[in-house]
Amino acid sequence: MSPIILGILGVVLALIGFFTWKAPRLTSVILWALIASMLFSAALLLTLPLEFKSLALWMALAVPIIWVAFQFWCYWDKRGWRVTAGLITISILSGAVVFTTPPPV
Amino acid sequence: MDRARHLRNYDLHSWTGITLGLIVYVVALTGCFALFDNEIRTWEDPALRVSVPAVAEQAPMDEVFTTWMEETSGGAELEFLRFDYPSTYAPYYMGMMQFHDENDEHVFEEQRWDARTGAPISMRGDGLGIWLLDFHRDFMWPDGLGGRTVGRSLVGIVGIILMLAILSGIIAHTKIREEAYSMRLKRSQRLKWQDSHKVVGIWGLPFYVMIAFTGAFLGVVVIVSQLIAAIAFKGDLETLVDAVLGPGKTPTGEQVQMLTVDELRAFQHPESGEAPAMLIFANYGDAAAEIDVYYTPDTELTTFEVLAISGATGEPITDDPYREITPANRVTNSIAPLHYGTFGGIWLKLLYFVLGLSLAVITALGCMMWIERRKHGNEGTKSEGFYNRLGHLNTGVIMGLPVAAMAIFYLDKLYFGAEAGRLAATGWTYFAAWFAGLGYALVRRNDYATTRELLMASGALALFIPVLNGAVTGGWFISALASDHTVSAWVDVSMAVLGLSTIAVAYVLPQSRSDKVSRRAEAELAPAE
Repeated sequence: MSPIILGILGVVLALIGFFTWKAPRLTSVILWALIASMLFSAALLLTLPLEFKSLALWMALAVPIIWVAFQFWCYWDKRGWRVTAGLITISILSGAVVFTTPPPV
Repeated sequence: MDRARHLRNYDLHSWTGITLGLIVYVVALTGCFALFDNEIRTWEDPALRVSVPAVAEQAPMDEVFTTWMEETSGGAELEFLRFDYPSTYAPYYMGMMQFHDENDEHVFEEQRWDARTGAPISMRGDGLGIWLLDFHRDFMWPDGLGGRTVGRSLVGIVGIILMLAILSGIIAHTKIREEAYSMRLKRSQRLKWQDSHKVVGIWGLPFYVMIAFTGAFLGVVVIVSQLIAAIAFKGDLETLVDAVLGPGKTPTGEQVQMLTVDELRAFQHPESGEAPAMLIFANYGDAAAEIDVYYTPDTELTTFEVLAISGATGEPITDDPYREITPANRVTNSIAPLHYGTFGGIWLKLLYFVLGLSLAVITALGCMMWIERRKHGNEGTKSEGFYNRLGHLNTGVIMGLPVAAMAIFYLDKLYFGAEAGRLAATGWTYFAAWFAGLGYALVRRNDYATTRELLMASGALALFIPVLNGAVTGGWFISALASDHTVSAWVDVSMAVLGLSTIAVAYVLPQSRSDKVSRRAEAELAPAE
């Protein structure tokens, strides 16, 4: 990867870190909820024991609900940091599932 | 619920409303017109104001269609080929195709033919109907900024935000049963708005939940589902498409005589007995050719029913597991009919129109309350002048949009340029009228008077639409109502009724603020939320 792209990525990550630190709920509702819902849905798509074609459609229907549920959680929980940490944990665990599970053929 | 959580939830409701409230308003109001897309297109194009001839009177089309296909594509391999039979809202034959030209560019071509004679009909440029529908679906998002997919995703995100606003709104209203019947019309202006916002919101709740979810699905799923699936397949989109849609059938190279579009007309649906509405061909002319025959559905909660047959023999294809209709298919197929209210006739669409309009009103009231609380309550941190300007801007955006929607009906009938430029002219007129409304609000500096006057203007424009149509096309609605094709006449009648109702509503609205409630007194009422 070129140093310019690495630099841009570094700046983006630093900005996300800064905004997460300054406003954990707001950053979570805008960014972390979206990332968590996408990775979580992808992990469910790979692990749920249903026929893939149907599962893909059910997951497409579930995405708006999962996304809104995560966004709502951001303002429901008493501690803003707990939400952010929870969403990042869900993202990491889901990412690990996606990374280690082969796609269906 | 503890007070801190209640306040956080209320903040969420308030901020989702104010940051995207105006966009929700735009999507809701444009959606009211998008419901009548077919009817408006018939009103728009006088060539569509004819009834579909009986099958025996319809022209044979095989030779016309195959000649057009071969001459237009120049023998290039077709990526997409479709043929439509005449229908109520499109009373002509229509062909569409896509192919790669010699410069490796995607070329899309379409042609329509007279249902009785088979003679080519010139294509009218896209305009009013397409603008009203697509502005709702994707804001007509320009290609230079990412194109329609970006616009569609943004509309989908509006659906997500609306779902979040509804959820936080339900949680915020702890006395929902009492509030459903509470209308304090003799109290302050803001309380009237607040009560209207709650009462209409509570009674229309099932509709708003449905419309937000289906809208989010139709908008967001286009991009997010693909993204999720791409993550799951680690970027291998080819395997992903094969896993969902099945591996495409490869052509054998053996040429066969295809069933003609005239022969295919006799392929009635085995259960409903419906005649085909549309055909989509794959591997045209090859031994592996398949035809998807589309029928008007037996059940209303789907757009079409599809029967796959062999292109050469007409034998149904029953051994393809990817064509099997599962419960998941049925649910996803029901989303579009649910969103556009196509499953219950014109009266259901009118109910959708009223409920859609009420959603626009709730959103507008929410934005007005947000400003009012800060201007006259204790939540504002800026000067009164700032909130005044914000109020003018809000009023201009809200009240300018109906004027813009009516203005493009006039543009449609008075346009005299090239057909290729019709859509662009429609867009310019739409934004010019909208900005004129905004400018008027900023110059008028009285939100009450602006609301009343722009509403009057919208009503007057709507009221004279039948006159415009009659004068320009000669299709006066009174005579058209007695003819065998009444769709455009009913659009005229609806516009006249809408115009009169709008003028009546505008007439009873106040010209200026009627109450003089102090900032402190208003502030004391605010936590009742």
